Amino acid sequence: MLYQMPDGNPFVDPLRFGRRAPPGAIVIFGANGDLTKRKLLPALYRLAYESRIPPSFAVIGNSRTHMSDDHFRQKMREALQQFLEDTPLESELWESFARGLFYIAGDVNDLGFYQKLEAKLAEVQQARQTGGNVLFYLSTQPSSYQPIAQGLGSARLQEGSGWRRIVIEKPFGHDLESARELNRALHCVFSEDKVYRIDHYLGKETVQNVLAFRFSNGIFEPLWNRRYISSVQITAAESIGVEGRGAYYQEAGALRDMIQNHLLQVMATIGMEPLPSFDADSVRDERAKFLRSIRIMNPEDVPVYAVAGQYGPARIGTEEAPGFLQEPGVDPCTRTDTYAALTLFVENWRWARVPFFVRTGKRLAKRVTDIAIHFNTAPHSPFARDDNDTAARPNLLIIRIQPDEGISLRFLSKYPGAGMRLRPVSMDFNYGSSFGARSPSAYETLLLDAMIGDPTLYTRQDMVEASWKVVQPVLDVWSSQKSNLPVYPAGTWGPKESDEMLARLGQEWRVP
Amino acid sequence: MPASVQPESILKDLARLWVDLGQEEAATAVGNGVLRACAMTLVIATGESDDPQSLGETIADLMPQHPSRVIVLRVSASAEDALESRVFAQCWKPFGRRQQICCEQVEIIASPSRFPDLPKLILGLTVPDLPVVLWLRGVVVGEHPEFRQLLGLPDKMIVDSSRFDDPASGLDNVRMLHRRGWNVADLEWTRLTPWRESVAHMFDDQRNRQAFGDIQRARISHSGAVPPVSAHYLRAWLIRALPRQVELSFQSVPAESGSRIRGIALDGRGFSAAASLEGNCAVVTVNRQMQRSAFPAQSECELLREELSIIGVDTIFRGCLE
Repeated sequence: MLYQMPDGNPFVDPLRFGRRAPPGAIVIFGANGDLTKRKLLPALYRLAYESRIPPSFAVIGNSRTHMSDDHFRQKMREALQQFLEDTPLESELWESFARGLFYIAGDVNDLGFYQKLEAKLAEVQQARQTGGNVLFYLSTQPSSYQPIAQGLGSARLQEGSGWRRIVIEKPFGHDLESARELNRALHCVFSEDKVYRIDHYLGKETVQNVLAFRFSNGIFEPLWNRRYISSVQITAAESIGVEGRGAYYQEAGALRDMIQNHLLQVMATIGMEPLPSFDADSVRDERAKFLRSIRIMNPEDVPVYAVAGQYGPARIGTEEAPGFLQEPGVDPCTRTDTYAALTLFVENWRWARVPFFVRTGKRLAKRVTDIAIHFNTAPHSPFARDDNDTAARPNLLIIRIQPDEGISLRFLSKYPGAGMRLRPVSMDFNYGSSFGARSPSAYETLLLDAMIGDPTLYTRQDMVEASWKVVQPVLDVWSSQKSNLPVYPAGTWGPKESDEMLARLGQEWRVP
Repeated sequence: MPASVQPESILKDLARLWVDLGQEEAATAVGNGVLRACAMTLVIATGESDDPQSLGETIADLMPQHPSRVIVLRVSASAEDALESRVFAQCWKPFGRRQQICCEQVEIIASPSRFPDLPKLILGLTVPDLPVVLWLRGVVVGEHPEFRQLLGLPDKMIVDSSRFDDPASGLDNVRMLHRRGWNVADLEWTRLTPWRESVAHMFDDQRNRQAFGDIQRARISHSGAVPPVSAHYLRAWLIRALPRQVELSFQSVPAESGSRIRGIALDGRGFSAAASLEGNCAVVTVNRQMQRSAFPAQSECELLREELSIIGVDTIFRGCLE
């Protein structure tokens, strides 16, 4: 009698074993670039180190530069030596990993290249038993996305004996129309379920923890609405400037670079409705539904609800920091925003009239990403008011994404001693102190997800288009203006216009 | 029970400890305060002959990942009527952070005559609303019948059957605890995780799963004259998953020291797979295709870390015990 194999692997122990990718190959376009060296290769090596990718796994790097497989391996080894964090580069493991690294030089705009790539894939499949599974990873200039998709289509590489998927880095378009056009171009070759748009913020452990926090703790859900929450502030601040990326950055700006993708996704994670189940469709449906609920600004709303700024020169500590317009590679007349802040409203029953204040910027006072949920103050305080009006301070729930990942709840407490004096205190959960375990990097999580075929933490076409719709009116108004942007001194929390935007609603920015 | 070792007095000592720590930290130039961390109560029952230094190092290594109120229960062989306690803190400062994180540790030394007092004492010291884990390190329950009352307290009990001279006795002890309905974990089973994971990886590939029914032989290699408890667990685990016709055998292989698993081999018509240890690497070969991966260090602390991350019932282990 033939033995009937169970559908899955009967040896798997989900309680103790980590997830593991099936056999396959990953083709990295732009393999000579910074992202590959700093993030992708270290993430793949770590996955191999932890045995999360199988022996037959292969990586095929591509760029225009001519080099042999061995030369590519050498370059990748150097990259790992430089950028691998908290993982030892062990020679035996490296040898085993390096055997799966291959390289093919070629111009992605040349259709002939894709025939060569097909041959290389066949060769690697034969040598490594990859099962015909291929993940195409586009780590190139955005202008190459369409030519690569078309090239893959011309050689019919989107089909094969195994699965085929394509991962695309941000920016996904530079406005709503270009995002739609890119989607159309991709869909000519890959169906939507094969397209993985990466937003590495969604792969961060602490952003995922927001879902755990909201949907596995019963005590917060009853409070998570307009009745109890007065406003939400989302801050993603960087203390550094453009750091040699001036030329790229002046084409993007803070609104496109951070808010359109990362921060709107974080906002959706905070505001989305409870999930029926933690699967890709449920999570992405709810995120998309939330993004579609954000009120689209009219042009006349933009000056009221959006603020742009540019950092000016300043002395920070003992260092003289240049202003954005003095940075190398930056056009001294550019109007690119290095700071952007928006007031957004969500048009649904849960969030009606609750402002979401979202801000991001370079050269701000410190590097921090967090979410502050401001609760309504107590309807009546029986305690005497002090000079600081302490009794009127709202409860705050702070979700810290980075650094010092964790959650704090601020509430008022009696100061010890005679009389009833109130002081705000903080109840703190610190991710690092409660779970000292190493957290996987966002790229480890997302690469493994793509190889396994789990798109939960990837953005979908409708999510991308919905978030472009939110920022497009702001981009349009800002691009039509001729006046200089407000300048904020480096090392501060942004232009005063941003404070004024909140003050108009009786609010003020929290100092993170 | 002498007044000084009542739960109330120990809790007061702990409260005083936190005040002192806070004041010490406030007196420093940075003065960021002390962060108190606690995710469970970890009761460790240990014998007098147990090396306190190695236990102390294990606890210190465990705390960053599993911050706990640790209660070390040291069994004294003394005939005198002894019950003593002391409290102290396990503190560390994570790299790049300015705030010190601390956990509480209570050490209780008890002579056999005071064992009946222990369950109530421990009950009063557990942290409310958080899991309680009992690690029987160097203490065999059968040797101290009074200890049995303690066993009703924890959500999980951890033993290490490899500490028994005779594997059969070790296995019997674990089975006895399981049969009595306690949620028991054995570090000998925990030692198997990388091995079991290696076997599972052999069948990640669909083509290998298709050859599953063709497997005819499975061989577990071990060092030492007789198979260790872990080899018996591995055998039980393989039997649960493999086709019925598979012939399963143990093979003793020479090795430097200790009784441990050294390798696993599966073969049959057109299929062969093996996992073995080479230095710090696991080498897994399936039909001549080989991969090396890190074989995690298996210090006592590493094993404990894995077990403490699972507070619920491990149904696969339970199945193997049955």
